Amino acid sequence: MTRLGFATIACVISLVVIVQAEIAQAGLEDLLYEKGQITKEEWLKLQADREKAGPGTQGAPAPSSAALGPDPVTNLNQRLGMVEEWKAKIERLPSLGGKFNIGLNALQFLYTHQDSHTPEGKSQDNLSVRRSEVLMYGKVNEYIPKWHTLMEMQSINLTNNTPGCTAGTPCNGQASGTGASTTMFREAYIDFRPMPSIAPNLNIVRMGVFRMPFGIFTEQSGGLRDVISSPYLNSVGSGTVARNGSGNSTVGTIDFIQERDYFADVRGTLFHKLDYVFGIMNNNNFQANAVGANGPKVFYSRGRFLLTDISFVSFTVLAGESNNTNTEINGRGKGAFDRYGIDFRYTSRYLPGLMVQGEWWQGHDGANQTTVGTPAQGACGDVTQCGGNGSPGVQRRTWYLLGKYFISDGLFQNYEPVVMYEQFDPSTSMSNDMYTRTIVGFNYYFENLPPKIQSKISINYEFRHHQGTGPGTTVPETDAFAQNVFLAQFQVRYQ
Amino acid sequence: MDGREVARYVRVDYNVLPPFGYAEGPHLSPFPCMKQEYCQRMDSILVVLVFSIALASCAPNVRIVNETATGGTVLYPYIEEQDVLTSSERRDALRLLEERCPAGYRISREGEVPRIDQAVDRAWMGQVSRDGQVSREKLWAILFACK
Repeated sequence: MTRLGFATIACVISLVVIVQAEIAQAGLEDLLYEKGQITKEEWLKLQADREKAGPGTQGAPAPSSAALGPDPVTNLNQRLGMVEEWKAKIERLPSLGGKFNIGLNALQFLYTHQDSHTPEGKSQDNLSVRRSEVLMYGKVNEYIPKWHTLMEMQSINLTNNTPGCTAGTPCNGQASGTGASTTMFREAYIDFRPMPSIAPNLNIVRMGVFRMPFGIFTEQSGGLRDVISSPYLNSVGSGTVARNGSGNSTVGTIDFIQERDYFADVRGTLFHKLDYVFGIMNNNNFQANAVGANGPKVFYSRGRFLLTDISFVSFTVLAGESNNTNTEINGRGKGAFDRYGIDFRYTSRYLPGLMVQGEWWQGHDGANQTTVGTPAQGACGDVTQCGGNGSPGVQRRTWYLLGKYFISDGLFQNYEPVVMYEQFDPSTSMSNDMYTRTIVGFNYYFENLPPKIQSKISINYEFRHHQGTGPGTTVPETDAFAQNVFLAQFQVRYQ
Repeated sequence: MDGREVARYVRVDYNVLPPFGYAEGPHLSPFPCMKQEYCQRMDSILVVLVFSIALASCAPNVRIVNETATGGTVLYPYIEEQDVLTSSERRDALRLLEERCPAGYRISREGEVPRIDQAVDRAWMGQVSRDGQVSREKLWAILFACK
């Protein structure tokens, strides 16, 4: 075949493709608009562009009457009926009816560099996928206004963490590191609205595993956060707690408020100005499905006063009992357990882009007993002399203040400087044990992405300080909470 | 110093009463006011709570901005598209217009407006939420003029 022949065939194929694409375009725009992929303004713009372009660019020439078959006017009702029938079917599709939606809650790539003196054999640099959360949600009907499932997609059976080695000793003689994998299951809950007629006064009963409705940061989804690290009120410290009387509860990881748990609560809004939540939770964090550690239950309640529709002040309290067995929440001990919190958020309309928020928390943990029924005596050097064992309950306190400002024009358009300062006092009755941190950095938001996709880069530098573990103590150079950190994170989010 | 004295010393040293009050031991109650030492403080908290709720009840969910002698713009929130015309917030908004314009009013324009600012809304994409999840709340504006 000659080149001319090939060219002719190519032209014909291209023409057919263009014609088909143009015919399908109108339908595609409508479908994209219905699914929320494009906004109404963009849909209107596309329609206007099409009309402006005129029939010459429509591509498809008017078909002959022979190709159409019978006169369209004569069977108009029949054709309209078919369209209506098709529309009714399409509307029942779960993705269009809102019954089923899928999104990417957060996909985050994180680089960290810490100035700490790491143990021999370990690196100061770390590159990781911080979050890869797939979100599914939907509305079944007025009585089930929302179901929600969140999965952390990740590899399981990962190799162990690199163990640290003591300087001057052979690393091959050290114990192996701990496993690095974790659960894929993150959240699953369902909202039940018992009486739609009185909503939102009594809006929903929420049951399942979800973020704790305490304060702002704990409840805030990872993809919506303004700084990379979680605040100290969720987790601070490292190492292991000594519960044999020789140590104290300021050593080790302190999960002051766990991020997620098993809950059942009631939520609503009174007078359009007061959001309330009250319920009961397991209080031992969660593990996938039914194998999570069980714990004494804790009652909790929060009132959030809406100063405007975008600014609020909240008061939260939880009280109950915690146990000391198989706990995921180290240091909470056995016995009385409570938390009190105040938080606020101010979002400005006078200076669009400015947001300030803060939280103040205080709470008491039970005593860490090593033997059930034996009183805990705290930092006692000789438990046989003291008559008890373990560490006493302590009062903890933490607060933070965060401010950010989104720059919407000028040289630094789409940049968002962020600053945050926080303190965590593991025991209010003990001196020289304070954790402090100042975070400075910025976010940069990428624009011109399709609607419902958010992409940003976050750069943070953390000035960390840890006084010690009690009077007269110092922290080692390897204490990660006493050494500054640089973090850089790229995030994509789609819902 | 015998063992009991050491134990008493340690307990006093470490188990001081916190500012909010705390009673350690097996007599646990999730409702602190059942304990005598909490009751006075709880009374004050209750008064503040009731006062706050009373204050909150005075505030409507609909507000008027750019008000002039002859008109203005009324704003109300909505979630779904169908709520624009059928929600109780719209009824509140129209009721407010009737109060402001006893002789009647004319709606010249309606439409969705940014919650904060168009650029900020787009960048933050639902971050301004009350429950830590993506907020789907939007704002509808009615531009009106009194007759």
